[in-house]
Amino acid sequence: MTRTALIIIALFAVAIPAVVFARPEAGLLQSGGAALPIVIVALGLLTVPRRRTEFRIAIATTLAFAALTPLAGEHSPWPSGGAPDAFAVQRDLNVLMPALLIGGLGVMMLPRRKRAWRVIAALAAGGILATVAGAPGDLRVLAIPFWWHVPAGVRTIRRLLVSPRPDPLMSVVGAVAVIAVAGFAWGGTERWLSGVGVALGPLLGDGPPGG
Amino acid sequence: MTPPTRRRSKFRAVAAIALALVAILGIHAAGRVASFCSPHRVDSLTYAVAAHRFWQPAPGAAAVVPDKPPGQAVLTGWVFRVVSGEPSRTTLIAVESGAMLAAYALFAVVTFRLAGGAAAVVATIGLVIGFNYYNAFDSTTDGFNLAENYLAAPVVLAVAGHLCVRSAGVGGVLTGVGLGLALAIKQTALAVTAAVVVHSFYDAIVTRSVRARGVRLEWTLFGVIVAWLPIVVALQQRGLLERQVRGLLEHSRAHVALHAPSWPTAAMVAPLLPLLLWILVGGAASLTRRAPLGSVEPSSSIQTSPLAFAVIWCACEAAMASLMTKPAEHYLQLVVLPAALLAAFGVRATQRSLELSRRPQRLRARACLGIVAVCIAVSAATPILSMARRNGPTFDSGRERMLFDDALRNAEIPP
Repeated sequence: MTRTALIIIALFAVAIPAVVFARPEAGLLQSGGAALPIVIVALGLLTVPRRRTEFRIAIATTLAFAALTPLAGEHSPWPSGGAPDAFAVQRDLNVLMPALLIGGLGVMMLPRRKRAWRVIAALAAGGILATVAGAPGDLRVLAIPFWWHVPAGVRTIRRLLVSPRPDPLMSVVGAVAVIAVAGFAWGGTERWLSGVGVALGPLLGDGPPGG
Repeated sequence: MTPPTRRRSKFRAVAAIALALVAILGIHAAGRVASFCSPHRVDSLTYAVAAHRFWQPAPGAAAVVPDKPPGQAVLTGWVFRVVSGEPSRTTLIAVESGAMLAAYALFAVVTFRLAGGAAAVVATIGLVIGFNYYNAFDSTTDGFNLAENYLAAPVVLAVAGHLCVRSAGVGGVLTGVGLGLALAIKQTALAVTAAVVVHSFYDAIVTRSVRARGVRLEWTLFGVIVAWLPIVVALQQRGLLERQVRGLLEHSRAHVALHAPSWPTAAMVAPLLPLLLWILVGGAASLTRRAPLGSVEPSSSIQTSPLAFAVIWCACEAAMASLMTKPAEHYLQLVVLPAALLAAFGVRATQRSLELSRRPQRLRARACLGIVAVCIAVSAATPILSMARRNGPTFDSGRERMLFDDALRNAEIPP
């Protein structure tokens, strides 16, 4: 499959639920927020490493996680002017958690001199608390610094699970990470699937979306 | 170690402790706001009013909560005599937080002595999350001013005396005082009492030190009497002793019954996940390497098996929680304590096991476990913040005073 085809699929996977759940009452700024995941995907693809394996990993993870984010909090930034509902923020945070986990692992594996990213990660963590505390914002922004490092995180987990010198403890640690990611991704995946179902409904003869 | 390296590791340790303190205090504060401002206001008001009445010059029969021991009223009601102004539940906030923070601090000291600094930090944060989560999300009542919140400190004191003090006299008395205070607060402390007794027998058989363990248990019994004596005297002076004993005998059994075993729901297990992670990985580490889960430094503890105690204690608390007739989440708070102790041993076993690994794999595993632990902890702690944010704005001091006045005017407390 060519790079162009993969990019088109990635954008399509993100755009379907984003369009389906767009709220007509939302303002320009809020509607613009719906495009944020698409921007994230585009940035992720533009900075994909050149090596073929890493490119595939980047595409796969970008597809998986970027597709989940537009559904977080009904895909829109929280109502402007008012504090976001704390439980919506919490739900969105859980949806973003797989990217934060694998991307965070990628950050941890950076060479020491490049760990300025940790500062960004810390800022992102501070942003989470600020958002939960009521500061208006969009939680999806917090995933960006972690997004870049998802391929490195995936590679690290793979090396724990599959090693030339087998080590049961390392396998357990790798398996724990995989289970944690699967657990966090469960809710978001369900929402994404329901979004795709709604989007494909008219094509399958189930009536107009939202009707 | 060269001086700059030592300086850097010192700085890291201080930074880690500071960060842990911020996390602990933040989660605790959120948990208290969520619990205090809960719309239920059932148990907290009942126990606050009973405590207020108990410390009045003529308390009357209404100062007794028929189905609960008097320890909580004795230990908390004095604050109404000390603090000026109209009494309300808010008067008890500092006392409750003080008791809970004392429990966290004591637990951190115990786990530090048994399993080291990193284990103490991880286990204490897990304990604070578990405690406050069950408190904030109780579906049957509000989580403020509950017996479990005051119970934790004496329970940990008993465990400290049992596991960390070598002297039979001092250790036994500390254990006894802790158990006595815990039993005086709530009957569910029978679980930790059973764990201490069973572990003492186990240890006596394993180490062939029946006589030494017997002497220690005698000191423990003495400690229980020391803890109970002032409470019994206070009850007798107020003419409430007979009524309290009769009430306990009549009503205690109604709270426990044998049920058909059932799996706990996901919501019940979720707050324990930050601790279960380390129990699982630590168990795997001890099974796959030569690092036993409960191994401790010879100089840091008496020659006993703290792991065996943690397992027995966990089983006893789980059994007690499963026997309760009401499906209240706050009963699970006491399961968090032994689970946190087990998690501390898990962290220690993982650390030791990773020290035996090759460097690149060790770094990968450390990073992986660190990030998974942080993500799970954040995921478990944010609901507490959310609940605090939802309940917090409902606080109204005037209404609090009015509710307290109304409750005080009511005659007797139903069981």
